[in-house]
This record gives sequence, C-alpha cells and structure tokens, in this order.
Amino acid sequence: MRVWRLLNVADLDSMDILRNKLFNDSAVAGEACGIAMGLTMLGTADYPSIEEMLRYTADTQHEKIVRGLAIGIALILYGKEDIAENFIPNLLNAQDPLLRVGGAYTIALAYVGTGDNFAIKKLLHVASSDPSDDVRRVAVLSLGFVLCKDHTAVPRIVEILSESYNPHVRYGAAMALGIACAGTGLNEAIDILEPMLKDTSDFVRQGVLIAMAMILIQHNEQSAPRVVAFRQTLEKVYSNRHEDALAKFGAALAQGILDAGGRNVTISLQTTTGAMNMEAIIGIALFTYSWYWYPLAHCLSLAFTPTALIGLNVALKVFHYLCLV
Amino acid sequence: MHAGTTIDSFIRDNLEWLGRATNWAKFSATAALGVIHRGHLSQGQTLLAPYLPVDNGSSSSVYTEGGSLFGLGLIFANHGSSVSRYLSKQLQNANDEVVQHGAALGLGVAGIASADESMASFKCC
Repeated sequence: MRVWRLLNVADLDSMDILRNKLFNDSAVAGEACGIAMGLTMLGTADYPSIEEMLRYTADTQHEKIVRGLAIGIALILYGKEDIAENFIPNLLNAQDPLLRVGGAYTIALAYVGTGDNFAIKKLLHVASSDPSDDVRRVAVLSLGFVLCKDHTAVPRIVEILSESYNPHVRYGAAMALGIACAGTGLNEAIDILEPMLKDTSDFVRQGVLIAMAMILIQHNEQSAPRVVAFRQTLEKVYSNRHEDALAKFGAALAQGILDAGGRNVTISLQTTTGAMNMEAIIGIALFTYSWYWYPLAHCLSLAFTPTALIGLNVALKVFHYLCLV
Repeated sequence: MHAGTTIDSFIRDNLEWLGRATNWAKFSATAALGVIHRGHLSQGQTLLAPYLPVDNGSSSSVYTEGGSLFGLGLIFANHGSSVSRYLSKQLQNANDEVVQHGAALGLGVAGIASADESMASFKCC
C-alpha cells in the first residue's frame, strides 16, 4: 500500500544541516551524515535527495563517505520495491564496490519481507559472481531481509552458501539466518549454524554466534533445548584466552542479545498484525553495517520489542496483564 | 543486555574500567547509556547531561560528546520530534568531526519517526 506523505519542515531543515556537514568533506562526519540523510528521508524515495547523494559519491575521495551514502540511499528506498528499480541496476553495475554494496542493501530494504523472486535471483547472482568479498557478503545477508516473512524457506536457500569456500559468503549466510529467523528458535536454522561454530575463520564464528543469539533470543530449555548448550558455548568462547578477538567480540555481543532487555524483549521484524516493523528492520540493517563501524552495533536496540507488559496501578498492584508475542 | 531497562548498575559498578576507554571506545560506551535508557523520554536528556556538549566549549572529550549525542538519538528513537531541534543545533555548531558524527547519527536515528509519521500508525494497528 503506497503512502504519500508531505515532508514536514523539520525534515527539510535536518536535511539542509546534514547536507552542509556532508559537503565539508570530513570522512568521519560525512559517513554519519550519509547514514543520517538516509534515515531522515527513510522510505520516501525522494529522487532529488538520492540523486544528490549519488552525485556526491562521485565527487568525494573518502571511501567512508561513499559507504555512508550508499546505505543512506538504500534507506531512502525502504519498502519501495519497483520504484527502487530506477536505481538498483546502476548501483549494482557501478565500478566502485562500495556502491555495489549499497545496491545489495537497496534490494534488501526495498524488497524487505516481500519474498520477491526477482530480488532473490539478483542477490544470488551477485553473491556468486561479484569480485568483491564485501558485496558478496552483503548480498547473501540481504536474503534474510527479503525472505523475513517466509523464514522457514531461508535455511534451504542458504544452506549451500553456508558451505562456500569464501568466508565472507559463509558469514553472510549466518547473518541471513539470524535476520530472517530472529526470535523463532527455528531448528533447521540452528542445524546449519551449529557446525559453523567450528569454522576456521574468526569473523565467521562471530557471525554465527550473533546469528544464533538472534534466533534463540527469549527461548528457554523447554522451547529450544539447544539454547542451554549455546549458553555454555558462549561462556567458553569469551573466557578462552586463546580465542581470536573477533570471535570473542561476537560471543560478548551474542550474550547481550540473548539476554537483551532483561530477557523481556525479542527481535521481531513483523508486528503482531503481520505488517513490517520498520524500526526493527532499520535497526538490524544498521547493525549489519557495524561490520564497518562497530559503534553502530547499538542500533540493534531499535529492533527489540518487549514481550511482556505488566500494568500496575497507583498502589503498585497488578490489575492488568498483557502479553504481546 | 540492559537495553531499555534503565538499569545502569553495570556501568556504575565498573566506572573505573569504563573510564579507561579511549577514543571510539569512549564514544561507544557513552552511546551505550542511550541504549540502556531507551524510551526514557522524560529523563533521557537529564541522564546524558553530564556528557552532552556544553556551550562554553569545556574540556570534555569530543568522543564523549559525540557518543552522548548518538545516545540521545537512540533514547528518542521513536519520538524524535522533541529532540531533533536540539540535535540539529548541535550538529550545526559542532566543529569537531567526532561530535558531528555523533550528532548526525543521533539526528538520523531520532528522526526515523519524524520522517514517517504515517508509517508509525501502521505499526500500532
């Protein structure tokens, strides 16, 4: 359902300020401005903004800025499906691998939850044929976004990618499972991820730990027996002195995700009525961007949805119990 | 783990360890306060006040200032309208790129809701 909205003055003011800071061409600030421009114009498919951002990616020398603008463009095209096709081919065929990464993110966010075959085919093609590891990794994890409404199909599609010779593709496969099956405890997904805990590559292990935590969040021994073993694995990884730093980081993050919000939240890309939960999707998308810039890992908190809401009256007595699952 | 719970006991108990963080780790640690107090709109700005940039240009670390602005954005992620003016002013006035970085991210994250008021109504139905 298309929603046309009138931009309010505050948004345009923000965009002006962000644009001015962007044109100062400072790499650190510019990256954040690119992302922020995408967030402010989220889902509007505002052509002038996108075109301006694309022009600046050609003008700037800083890779950080190009990266930030690339995901910013993807955010502007959130949920836009066919309209995004005006930009996706150009992004995917760009010389600069960072723009191709942007193209993959654009497919992920434009077609989020649609299960669109065309989008999946394109992502699989990029995942198998692009010369850049970064692009292949993002293309694979983007499958998780496109298929998040049909999460039971993801293990089948991603299984072969999880055995790829390329560790970036394996990482992407793990994250795709984590994204699509978040909060579900799906056994088929854990079946694929568990053996990957022994992967030779440290960042793949990091991705697997994070993905398993996202899938097993809020599950206990009754609903998902394997969570017990997973908790023990986490403890082993982050307390092992000889473990690689990247894997330990993953284990620490995973522990935080597993017990997120005091064990009162889950990660849910859909609302209770089945509509897409925009905040959660954006949160996870920015979380995947933390591959490049780790402070953005905090954005995963946008994806947390409380599951129990306990109402208390003035006397602090329970009068109303509401469970949102 | 304490996301949205306002329980900052870990931070209080380990303040000395956290104080040793430098540069971007400091940024990230300050932003974590925003994650912990997510949704705490009435007190959010007060809680982060010790870390936010001060107009008279005090000596607080730029990483702390940038991180606090990002954290502020995270606190107000669903209700950005009240704080986006403050954040945009901070972004405009900031001279250092780290503070600009935090302010821009904070403005973007707080401004998700402001960009899509019509979509917000989809969320709650």
